[in-house]
Amino acid sequence: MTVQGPTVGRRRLRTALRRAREAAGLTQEQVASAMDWSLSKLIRIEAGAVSISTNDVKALLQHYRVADPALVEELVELARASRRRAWWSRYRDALPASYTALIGLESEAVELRFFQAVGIPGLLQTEAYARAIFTAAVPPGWTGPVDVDLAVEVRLRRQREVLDRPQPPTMRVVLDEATLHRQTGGAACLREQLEHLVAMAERPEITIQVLPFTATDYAVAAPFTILSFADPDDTDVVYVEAAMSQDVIDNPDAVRPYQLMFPRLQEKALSPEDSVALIAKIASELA
Amino acid sequence: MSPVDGPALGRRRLRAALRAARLAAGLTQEQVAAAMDWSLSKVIRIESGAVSVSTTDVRALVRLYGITDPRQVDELVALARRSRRRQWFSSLRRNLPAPYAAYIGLEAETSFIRYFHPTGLPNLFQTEAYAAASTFRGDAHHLAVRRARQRELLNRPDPPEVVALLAEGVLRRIADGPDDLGGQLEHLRALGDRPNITIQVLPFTAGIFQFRGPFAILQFPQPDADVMFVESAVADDVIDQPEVVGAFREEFDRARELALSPAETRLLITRLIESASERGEARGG
Repeated sequence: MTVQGPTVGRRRLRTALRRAREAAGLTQEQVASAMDWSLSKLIRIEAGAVSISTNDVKALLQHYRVADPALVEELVELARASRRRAWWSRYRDALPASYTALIGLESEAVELRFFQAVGIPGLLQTEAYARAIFTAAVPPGWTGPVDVDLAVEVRLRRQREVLDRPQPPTMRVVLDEATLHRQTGGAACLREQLEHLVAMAERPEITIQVLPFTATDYAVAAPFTILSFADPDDTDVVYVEAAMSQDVIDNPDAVRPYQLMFPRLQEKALSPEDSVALIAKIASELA
Repeated sequence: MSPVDGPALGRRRLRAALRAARLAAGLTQEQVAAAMDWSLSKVIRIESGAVSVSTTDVRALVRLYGITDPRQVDELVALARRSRRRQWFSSLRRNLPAPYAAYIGLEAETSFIRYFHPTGLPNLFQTEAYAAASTFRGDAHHLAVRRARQRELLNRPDPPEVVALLAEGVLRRIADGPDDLGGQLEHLRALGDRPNITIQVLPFTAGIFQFRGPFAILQFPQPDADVMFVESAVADDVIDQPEVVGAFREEFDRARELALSPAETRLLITRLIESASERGEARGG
């Protein structure tokens, strides 16, 4: 078993529990009533919205007549892992649920693929650039003030947790050329950001490609991130943002278009060498 | 018929009035369903504006809610009649996701549209070639709907005011790409010359957008009646909470101050058209 972290563990556990219930031919209502739980407790467990105690897992599996000791042990271990506290737990109240889900997933991913058409991906941002974004941008559903310091703190912590891992994930990045010209935080801030990108591209696990204005792609896709995991049983997840929402998509059918789109964007993009040269050139032309 | 008296707004107003009347009568949706011999889902769909309601049904509801003022009854019945009126898009709408269909109905009745898109052009401004070359919404039905919306809305005798904030990168992509896209930039410039259309480009120097995705805000004469349409990869959505729409409208108007003026925008578009045609000649095209 290759699962280490709480997020992927919870995701796999919830799928396994749901399958076991369906194999036993039971409805959620029947199970809730047999366990003396509210229906909503079971629904939330199966949706992955709450963690589940190891005792509850054992009781459920017994009820579902899952007897294979290896399987039971694996699922109990998943439940244990899914209750482990992570560094972002203390920010949970301050951040949207889908954003903490992203943080959990990215901290356990082995490959991250980004398409960005608006800004530079959060994991590759300088502090000044991140601060400029949080100062300027209105979060989804915004109606009040934003805690810029907290947002920057979380972003920098994410970078350390992912990039400084003993085995950091592979990161493939496709950037719309516009992201290299958009002077977020001013020209000097962008220049520093672009130089940071050039430096990051030297890391063996990071590949950066630019989708140039000359490509045959006119209305480019909205930004997205595809996260992949070590175990093939853990299917890819996509993270997308919109004006009013941010979402984690993990239904394989909904993920597939992104899996198909990313290689097409890579093909239309400049080679990694030409891309880094272009980024460096744009940086050098900024005052 | 004035466009602001159309079926979409009628339905919206009717659903709010029916809901308020039910609550005033102290009835739950379940009680109403039971009293009318309807399914609960019918009541829910009427009150959410997802379906229209016949004038007979409105009269029956009004009786149940104890509304006796004849003027009020007539007004609700008139709203019901109006909300069932067919529009040019009634037949096109059938195969569209509900939020998009609702948006088209509201768009047909608005007097003012604010539009922002970070990575593409507004539907209403696209040439056929641009729409066909766009990554999304490219299927034949969507293209037909886009074409009809454009025709009906922009050629209306009293077209709505449109203010669009465009991203400089979107224009650069059109100018630098290998295709002419049916004269998309010329078309854009001509649209901007219309008295009811204001186009402003957010230049690269303005930095990151305030907004993380595209949206349109439709304005209506009634206070707090504005709605916002947001597109996302997961689901499009029509939002009508006044505090949310109001916050986005304020931010939009602030973003306009960071954008090029309409005149500067026209100059930029002209420059891009010229540089594109020079490149075309240099390629021998």
